[in-house]
Amino acid sequence: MDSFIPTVLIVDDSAPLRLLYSTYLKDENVNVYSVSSGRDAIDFISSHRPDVIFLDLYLPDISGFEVLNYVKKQNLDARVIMLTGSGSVDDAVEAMRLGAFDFIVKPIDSARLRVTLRNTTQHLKLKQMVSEFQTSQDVFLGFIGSSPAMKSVYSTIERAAPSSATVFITGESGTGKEVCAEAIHKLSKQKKGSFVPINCAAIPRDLMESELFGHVKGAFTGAVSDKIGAVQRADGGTLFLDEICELDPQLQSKLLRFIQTGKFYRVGSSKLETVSTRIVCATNKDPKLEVRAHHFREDLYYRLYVIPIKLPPLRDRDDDVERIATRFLKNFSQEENKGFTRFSISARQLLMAYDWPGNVRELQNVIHQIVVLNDGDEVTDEMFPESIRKDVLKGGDGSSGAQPQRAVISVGNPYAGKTLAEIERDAIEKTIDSCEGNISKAAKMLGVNQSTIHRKLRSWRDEAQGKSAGVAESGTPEKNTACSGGSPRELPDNKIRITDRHSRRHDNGMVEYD
Amino acid sequence: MTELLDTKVLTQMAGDVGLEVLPQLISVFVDDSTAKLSQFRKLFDNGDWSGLAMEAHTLKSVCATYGAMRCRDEAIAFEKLCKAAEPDRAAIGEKLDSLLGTLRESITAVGGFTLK
Repeated sequence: MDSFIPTVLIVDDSAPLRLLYSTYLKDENVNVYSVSSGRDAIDFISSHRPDVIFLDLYLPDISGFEVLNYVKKQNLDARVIMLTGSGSVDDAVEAMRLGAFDFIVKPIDSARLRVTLRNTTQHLKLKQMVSEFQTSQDVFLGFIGSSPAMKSVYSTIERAAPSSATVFITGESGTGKEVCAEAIHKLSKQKKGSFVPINCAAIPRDLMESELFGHVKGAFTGAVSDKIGAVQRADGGTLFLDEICELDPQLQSKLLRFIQTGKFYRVGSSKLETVSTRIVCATNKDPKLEVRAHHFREDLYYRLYVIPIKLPPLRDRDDDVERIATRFLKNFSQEENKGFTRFSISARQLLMAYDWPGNVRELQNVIHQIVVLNDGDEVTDEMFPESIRKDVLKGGDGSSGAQPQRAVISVGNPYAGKTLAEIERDAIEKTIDSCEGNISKAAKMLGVNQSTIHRKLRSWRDEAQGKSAGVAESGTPEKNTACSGGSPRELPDNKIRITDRHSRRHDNGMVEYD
Repeated sequence: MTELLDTKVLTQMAGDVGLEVLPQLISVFVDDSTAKLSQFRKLFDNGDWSGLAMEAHTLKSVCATYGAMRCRDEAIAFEKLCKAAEPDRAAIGEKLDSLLGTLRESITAVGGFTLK
């Protein structure tokens, strides 16, 4: 905080006054600059971002009000102190109303100018301290954000970490499942041991057992020496099994045995080995649906699903989008040696309006791209990829590009003969349809929380599955791919088909939901 | 009539900025004010009453800051005259002569100030 040296700009058309005020401040710990006109002031403000501006109300080209207005419109943190003659106090009061921090009536003596500067810089320092404190509150073991949804996640992590119970993390791709697993490790009793992540989807099936449990020399072609597996590397630490639902069924049973006993065999070995490791696993699928689809062993599911943590998608994390984007902007600007420090108002609106289907990872890539491909100190909405701008505009009213359109429902009598529940369902489906499957936008249009829509969709889905359960039981369960993320399953008694996170309406009236 | 130079103001200024800096400040005042003499005349010749009012507004602050109190008072009155709904050229011309005369005297007085 002591290193903070404010930049001060003096705006006055009189050279003797500019020099005098600068001289008054020469012993203060500030960098002082001065300009003689309003336009020069705006140029300086735009390029140097001063912290304090002593601004004469009457300037030869444009009024001090216009300069003040510029500062406010740009949403700058600068504190503006109006300098005014004794006959212009009303104007100074008006300037205060418009956002000036203080005013001084001319003639100005040294003591008055210095005291005003000190009060102002003190205020700035306090604000910076608050901001630093808030930033520290925004960060939790690799996560950035302080939305209620994330605070709840942090709380669960803190409670779950010290226990030895298995944690099952779910969440869309890019929501930070590995960050969550590492956070649990860092807070756990095993934090001095290794954190060993292993992606069950990235390793070929044939090699997975060896990756997990290791092998001995000659166990298979290419096994030219003994190898320690992930479970052994994680002895005394944490084993993170990402994309657990992708694990081969045969291996699932071996993993279950290992979790139950802590014992395992290396591939090609008959020697039983024992380790003590904390298991954390994750998936971007719904594990219950995977169990129902017979892709994931039920016994393994119950063994692993002890403490569930559901990571919210970025679109459900309120202002976290802006916090995370700002952090990325700062980091990438530093990394790429660029001068970006902030987002314009329109860029912030875009950040908030877009749905970020790829979550934090997508946001990270977009900000990196912006920093690499552009120059300047402020990120504007034009710098965002066209696909994002188009997506937001499509969901907007076409004017600001940031606000979702209200759903328009015809008011003739389209619901005659329908129950209220049917009308509600119809309205929700049509709105989702008009939003091209975007639940978040649909919820905004309908003026409800998106969790309400998700709850209703779930109940309709459950209802549909209940009706079709008989078919699955007596028919061919291996074709039931409802939650595999692959080919969707049609549920004959319902309009819903389950695929990935977005929903779409088909020509036949069917809607796909996540 | 207000005194031409309030020496207390410059004495205070000397105390605030230091004796070594005061001559530099006075020098800038003298140069800037001397340039204003022709600037005022030019604006009057062009009938630029709002420009004159603006210059008078600035002059009153500068004079008050450097202790040129009589010139400050005349600048206040002159600014009002120039801001009138229907500016009177003859009256403005008459006042301008007086204002510039006082400004010349002020420049001499401030420029010749020495701390006793």
